[in-house]
Amino acid sequence: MPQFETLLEMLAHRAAASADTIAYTYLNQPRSYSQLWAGINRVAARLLASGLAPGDRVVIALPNSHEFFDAFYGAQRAGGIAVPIFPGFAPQRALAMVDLCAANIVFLPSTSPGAKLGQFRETAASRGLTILTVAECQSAAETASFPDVQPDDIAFIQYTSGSTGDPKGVQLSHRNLLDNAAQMIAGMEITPDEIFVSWLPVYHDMGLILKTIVPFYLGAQIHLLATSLRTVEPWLEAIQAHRATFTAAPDFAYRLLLRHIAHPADYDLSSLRVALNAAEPVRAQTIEEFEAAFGLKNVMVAGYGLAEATVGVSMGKPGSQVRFDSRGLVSAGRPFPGVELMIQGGEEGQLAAPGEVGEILVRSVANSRGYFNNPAGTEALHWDEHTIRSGDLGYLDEEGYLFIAGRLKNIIIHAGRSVYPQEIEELYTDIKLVRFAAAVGIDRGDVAGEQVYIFAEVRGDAQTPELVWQQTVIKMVSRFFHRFGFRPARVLLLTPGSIPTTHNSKLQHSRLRQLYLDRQLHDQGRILYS
Amino acid sequence: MSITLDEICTLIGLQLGIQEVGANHHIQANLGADSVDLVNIAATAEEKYQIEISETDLVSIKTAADLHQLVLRLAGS
Repeated sequence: MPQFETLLEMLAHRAAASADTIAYTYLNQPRSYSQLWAGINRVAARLLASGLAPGDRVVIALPNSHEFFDAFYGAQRAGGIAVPIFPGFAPQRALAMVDLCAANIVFLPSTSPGAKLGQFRETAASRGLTILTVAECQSAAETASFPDVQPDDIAFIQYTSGSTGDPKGVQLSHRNLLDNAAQMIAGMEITPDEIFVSWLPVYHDMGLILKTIVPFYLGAQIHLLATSLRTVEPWLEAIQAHRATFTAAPDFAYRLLLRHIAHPADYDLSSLRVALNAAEPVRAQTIEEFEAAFGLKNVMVAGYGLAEATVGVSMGKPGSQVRFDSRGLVSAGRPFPGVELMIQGGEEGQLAAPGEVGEILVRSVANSRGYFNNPAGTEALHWDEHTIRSGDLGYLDEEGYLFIAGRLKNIIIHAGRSVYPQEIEELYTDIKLVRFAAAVGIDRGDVAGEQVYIFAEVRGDAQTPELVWQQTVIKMVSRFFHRFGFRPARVLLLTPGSIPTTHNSKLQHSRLRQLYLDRQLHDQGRILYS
Repeated sequence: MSITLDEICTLIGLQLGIQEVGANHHIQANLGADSVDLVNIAATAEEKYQIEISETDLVSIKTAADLHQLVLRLAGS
């Protein structure tokens, strides 16, 4: 495997060694490594001409596109730090992100409507902020001299959307990114012959690092799609057309796909070696249904990762049967080579025994050095010098397989018993009327202590007969009781869109709890039946 | 406010996850509720009918009919 010191060295090497080789396709439009490298240099020259100093942040609010890569690597080539953000943010929210990382330059799509650019420029001008598009960099001189970028320089900052408080900016160095790419390549058994298909956002870690940096690292094929999941057919069509061997998505996307594709037999996905299911809780049912629908076996594997460890940490072994535990949780596999996983025990500083649930600790060379401009957050992140706290709960079995039990702060403790929201939420995945459910712990302050409240978004409306809702609640309570031996305090059926989620569809349990306690769900007419 | 016995039976059924709740079924002995379930049944009734059920009243509830009588009394109908 080639050894690179920085992402830029990697791309320069590809451009020199295999200039006309296709770096990637976006919506079937190919781009060669030499075209990519030229684009990067033009953006970098323009940034240097604007006075970008080493370490200056450059916010990149671009969707999946050719431009994204020019801006992302162009910022690094100029000695800056790229900060990709969700391109759908309204100006106000985008500018709040700009403030968080104290950036002076923001990239917007060249295709932005004039009105949107104008709106941004108006707000930006008063703060001394420069709004750029990649198109505006085209005329930059190509012969600028570029600063020397070192392996430990920060390549980009990945903001993680926390459910409470400000997002935290995870700083990732060139070395972190290349180390994690190498860890994933080894652990996922990826070769240069791999053919990737991805619609995942390139402005977010899994889509960016696993689906673009890894293929660039190996010179493997990557076919990128737009992120819209309004239609799932293009995803399947691309897998079939390119004979793709590797795709990845969070569980919800696979569930969506299964719901929307009426005739899975119309698609030939037999080329797939790995359909990675990661970035949110993996449901056993999704794996079973996906493989059954497309006639695949041991292709969908569960993975685990977090931005603070760059991205990938563990994954089930490709081609082997998925491992479940007695509770039906899906194993996220063993850690990648070079990554060590441990579980925090009952006492601070102590490690848990196999099978014992605690916070997942990650020791890896690919661990971030910490959050941007947030020493308190960085200190809280570190368990020791080389180990970080994930904020996720899980356990390792006797053979070192990881099982995720949920988020640390969402754990529900009822009558001394810990229940993980995920265990509850998975109980209802096959109830047709239930879109999805979220469980939170609420203590009303009475004798019962903290109890389980279940909120379910349902398919239906005010016209749906009450009896239907009654049956649904009875089924949900009874299923809960059979599983846990006690009953939830309350089941509330809500209108679609009531349960708050992040833009990548993670449930926001603490916000939901607050909406309920503040009676906002009541006041907004969100409660269909309870 | 007219609160029917049927309505109270439904409320108990929803809370316990069971279909058939008879007016004279003993909520704990026959329907398998535990003390926490009983507290939750009372809490749901309190919210639904805007009433407050005291500790003493709570322990007196044995059946749906009992709860019905109590709710009617507290709701003043």
